[in-house]
Amino acid sequence: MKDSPGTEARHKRVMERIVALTLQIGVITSVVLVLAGAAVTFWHHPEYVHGTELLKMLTGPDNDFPKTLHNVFAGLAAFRGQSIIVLGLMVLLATPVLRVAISALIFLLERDGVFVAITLFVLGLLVVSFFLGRVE
Amino acid sequence: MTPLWFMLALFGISILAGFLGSLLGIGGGIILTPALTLLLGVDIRYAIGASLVSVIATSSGAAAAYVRERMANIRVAMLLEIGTTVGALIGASVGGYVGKNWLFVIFGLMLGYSSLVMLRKRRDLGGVDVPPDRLADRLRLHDAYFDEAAGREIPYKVTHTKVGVALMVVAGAASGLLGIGSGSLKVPAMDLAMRLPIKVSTATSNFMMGVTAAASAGIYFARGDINPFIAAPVAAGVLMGATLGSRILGKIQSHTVRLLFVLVLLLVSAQMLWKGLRP
Repeated sequence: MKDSPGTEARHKRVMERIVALTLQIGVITSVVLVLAGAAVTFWHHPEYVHGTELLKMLTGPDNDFPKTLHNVFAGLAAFRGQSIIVLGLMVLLATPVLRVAISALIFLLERDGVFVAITLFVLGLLVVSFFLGRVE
Repeated sequence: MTPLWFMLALFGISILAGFLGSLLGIGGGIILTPALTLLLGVDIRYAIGASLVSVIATSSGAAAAYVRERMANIRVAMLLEIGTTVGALIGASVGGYVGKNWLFVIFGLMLGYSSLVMLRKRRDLGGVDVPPDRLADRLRLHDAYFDEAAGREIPYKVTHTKVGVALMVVAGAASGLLGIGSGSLKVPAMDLAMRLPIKVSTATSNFMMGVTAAASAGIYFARGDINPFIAAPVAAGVLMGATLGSRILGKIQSHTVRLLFVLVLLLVSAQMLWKGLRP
């Protein structure tokens, strides 16, 4: 049975709502984490508020911030501000990928085969390029 | 400068970058990279990492509103995303083999030319009066959005879909090769070839660029290019600016958006020519 145009339009609105909501949740979570992390950093290091000689260290290669997932979680366990920031950044970097994954799911529910294929293809390429980058 | 002042200054600059980026469908690197390297003395490596964060933050911060207000066309975005991701992979794999100088010159000239053509189109709002395209019909790409400035719903049709996808491959490859935000290439392609309304073009470009950038985010993170002390104010500021910008896009006149975009495009074009031609 073919859906009437009205049903299709309504489906589309629902889809747009879900995508928008996902994005908003991701964005708000990441902002809260990033701001909390910055607050914790300054709380642990009151010298960052007045000292001028520390900026070069913080913005240069000597800043020992977490670069692997393992480091991030170790830092979180120790309640390190920069690790909380990185967690927030990771949530932010994941939102677009999540957006594609959800779109694929919604196209699937709408039984829009062509767009399921298109979206899964994009998702697959994202994963491939992610791992290609890791090998370098 | 104290670390606190650094963060606050960068936060302010990032709000501006996010605002402009969300209006024009570009990443904000055009403001952030020079501000970080020239003004704040940050190493280019961390500046590029921060720009990547800015692209994703601009995209995610504005996309929610653009999707809700139907300014971004998700179906067009997903389809074109095939082109940009394939292009990005091509660009990344041939990156070591091609001379970048003449590529900068070619793209610089191309963008300069596009900006002039886009300027000439400034009376055109996009719409349903475009050459028929069976592929766009079959994929049901046509849509409508509510334009607050015009005070009415604006239906539009998409045309030259194949050309659009092909141009996205070029755009993706160029951003992989030259490290430029692909928004400056995507918007002219959607505007001039596919004939989307300018606001739909920038909002759709905005929606897409986060996805493309996310593909390389893992690399930058593992390489240690994303310094949380620099990225935190960028992420928070850009998200705020982008949320603000996305609320405003509907309200400003289409030709204002177009004019702003043309100005930024001219700037990018000049920057690229300079990069390619400097001794």
